[in-house]
Amino acid sequence: MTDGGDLAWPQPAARLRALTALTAALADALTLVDVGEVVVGATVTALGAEAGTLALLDPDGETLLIARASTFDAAVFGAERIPLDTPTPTAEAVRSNRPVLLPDRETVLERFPGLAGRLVGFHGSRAAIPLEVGGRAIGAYGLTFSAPRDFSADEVDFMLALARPCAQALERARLFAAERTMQLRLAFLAEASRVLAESLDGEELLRRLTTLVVPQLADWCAVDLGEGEAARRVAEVGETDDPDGAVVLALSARHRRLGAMRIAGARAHRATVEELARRAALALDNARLYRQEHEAAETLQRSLLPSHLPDLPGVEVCAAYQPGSTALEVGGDWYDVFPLPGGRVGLVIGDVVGRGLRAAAAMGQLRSAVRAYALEDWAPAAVLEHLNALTKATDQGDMATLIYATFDPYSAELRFASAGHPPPLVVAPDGTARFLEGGRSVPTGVVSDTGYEEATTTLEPGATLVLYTDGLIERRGSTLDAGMETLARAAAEVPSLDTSALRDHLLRHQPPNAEDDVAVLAFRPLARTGPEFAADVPADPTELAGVRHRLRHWLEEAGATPDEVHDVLLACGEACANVVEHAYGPADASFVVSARLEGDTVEVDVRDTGRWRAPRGSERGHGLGLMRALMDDVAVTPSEEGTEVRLRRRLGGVRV
Amino acid sequence: MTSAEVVVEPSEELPIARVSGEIDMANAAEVAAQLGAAVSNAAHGLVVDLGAVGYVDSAGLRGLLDLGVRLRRRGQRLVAVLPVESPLRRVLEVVQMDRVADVCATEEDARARMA
Repeated sequence: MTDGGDLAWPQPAARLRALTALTAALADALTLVDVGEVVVGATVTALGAEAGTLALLDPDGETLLIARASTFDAAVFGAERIPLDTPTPTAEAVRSNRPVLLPDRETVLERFPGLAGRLVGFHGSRAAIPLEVGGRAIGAYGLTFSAPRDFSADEVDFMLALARPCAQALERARLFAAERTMQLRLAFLAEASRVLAESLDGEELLRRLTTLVVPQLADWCAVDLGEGEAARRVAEVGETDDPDGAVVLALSARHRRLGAMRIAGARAHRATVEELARRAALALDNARLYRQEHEAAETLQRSLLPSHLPDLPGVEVCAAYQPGSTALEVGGDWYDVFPLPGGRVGLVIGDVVGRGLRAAAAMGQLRSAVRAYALEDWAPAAVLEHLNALTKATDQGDMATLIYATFDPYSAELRFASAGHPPPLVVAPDGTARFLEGGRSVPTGVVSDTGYEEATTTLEPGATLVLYTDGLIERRGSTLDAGMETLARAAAEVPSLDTSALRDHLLRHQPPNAEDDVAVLAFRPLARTGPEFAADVPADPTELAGVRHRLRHWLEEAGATPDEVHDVLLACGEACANVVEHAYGPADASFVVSARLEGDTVEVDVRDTGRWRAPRGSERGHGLGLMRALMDDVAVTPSEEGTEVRLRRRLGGVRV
Repeated sequence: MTSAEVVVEPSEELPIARVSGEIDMANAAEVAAQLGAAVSNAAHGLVVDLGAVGYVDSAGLRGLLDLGVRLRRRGQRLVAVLPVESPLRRVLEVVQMDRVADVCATEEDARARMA
């Protein structure tokens, strides 16, 4: 072998400079493309070659990715792929992990006859040097020289010396790229998981998912729920010319197929997209399960609350239950209203600590228990004591806060006991609002054998008692005191509203970010000035029952007790009977019965315009005696126009 | 129209008349007649159970008082049955029903009284 004369192989000092420059250039190159560019350019320059190539073994171990110096372009890397077993010098260098040295055209043709067609006009030499990392060729660089070349051992050593830093840089870039891909994939999936966790509404969740996929991962994404005929497109983002050619990924979770995700123009690894579909399906299924539990709890909750409140005379009461606004939780809030002996009213508001089905079920038990104790007519504190003992004894362990109150319409006394519950609010007719702070003790279900406090106050007619659960006053990042202040202000704004309008007004003033459920009960004793009763009655015995029936209804509405109703009806009936008995002819005579409330006194007038057969006072029966016995005041006023009987009875004055 | 129903449990010695509904001037005479017809000459008297009566006015009371007087003249007794908590109790007191009749809380009490 000769030196070839026209080839100037670098001398030792130049080789060292070339190696140093190469190492420095590689140190700055981070990506595979950067490194490849340096490798091809540096080897061609250092060795005075005409052209250079770089072959990199694909991770699959069976393909070579080729880059060429003459056409080198970042985007081209990997565009030319050849099987590893292709008979070319660089492939052979990778396969054998040894330098392939081809000093002249003849040697090339001898070793690689398949290249004949590409060697037209070629009269130089070629070399392919493996790029070795850890004893394994990860690729090779190839050089083409314009003249035949004899490769000395010294020269081969230099080419191998150049290969070492190149190989390491390429491997490093490859790992970097792999890690970067993994990082991007993980970052994307993390973002996807975050988005999927933000909603518990399945369809909303899928809409968000598609906006995440497009444009980050693909050009077009659509999601269908259900299968076959029942499939329904719930989300679609982006554009595609070929929806039928899209990749279809099943959305399956817990062995249920929920739907499918279609992706066109994907730019991501299949594994990434599959993982995304898996997570989406799981989130979707969680949303379904959550909704089931939520609906079951809400159904149970509502079924355990009173379907309607009793229609109680003389008072106005309404209540509402509202599940958490962000639908996160249904809880054990409850309210109750029931009549008690003696015309009194029992009022309950409560909140079982905890959420979901369990809290709703516990609430049902507590509600029944409170009613049972209340109807035995225990005082409020005693009812709470019994309830606490029951809770501790049955070992349910369900802690609850509640208020039990009784109201006596005749004395206007409100008696209440609170087991750790937010204080009742009273709004006076003039809008002044105050909280009832007394009668507070610990929640039930916490301490055995604890006593409960009781307090009383006067609830004047027209004043409104508002009982509520903490959802109405709790506001994130704010104190309970601030919430109560807001509630009191809201209630004071509209004291003239009826209770249902007031309730709705308060619910609207609920903290905007409230997630808790809310129960509200508004109770108002009515001023005893209802509508006046009036009836024009034909003077006929058979008409009396009808008048009694109507007057009975009016008296009950006015808040009279059964005994009071009876007494007033009988006194009035006697007055009416007197008119009928003494009227001339029953044919066309009539008389007027009217009644009204004056404060807490009912006043009934019976007036006739008929002529009398005989003056009053000659009655043989007990009519007047009964009227006087049953009424507080009886006045009979005869005049030219007729006779008026006025009966007065104070309600609540005489009770059994 | 005022309506009342009288159901008589016949008995040679002590018939029981159970009255329900309302009694006022429109039907007092009719009710009194039915009650009077329930007592034979051989009976010790008559038990009138007013527990299911929601309303009785002075005309109805007059009928009961008259019946009580009539039975007494015949050596028979009238017993009115009325639960303790009935608002009609006070009415009977006002008209001094006890002058012509016994007032008991239950039919058992009434029978015991007559035994």
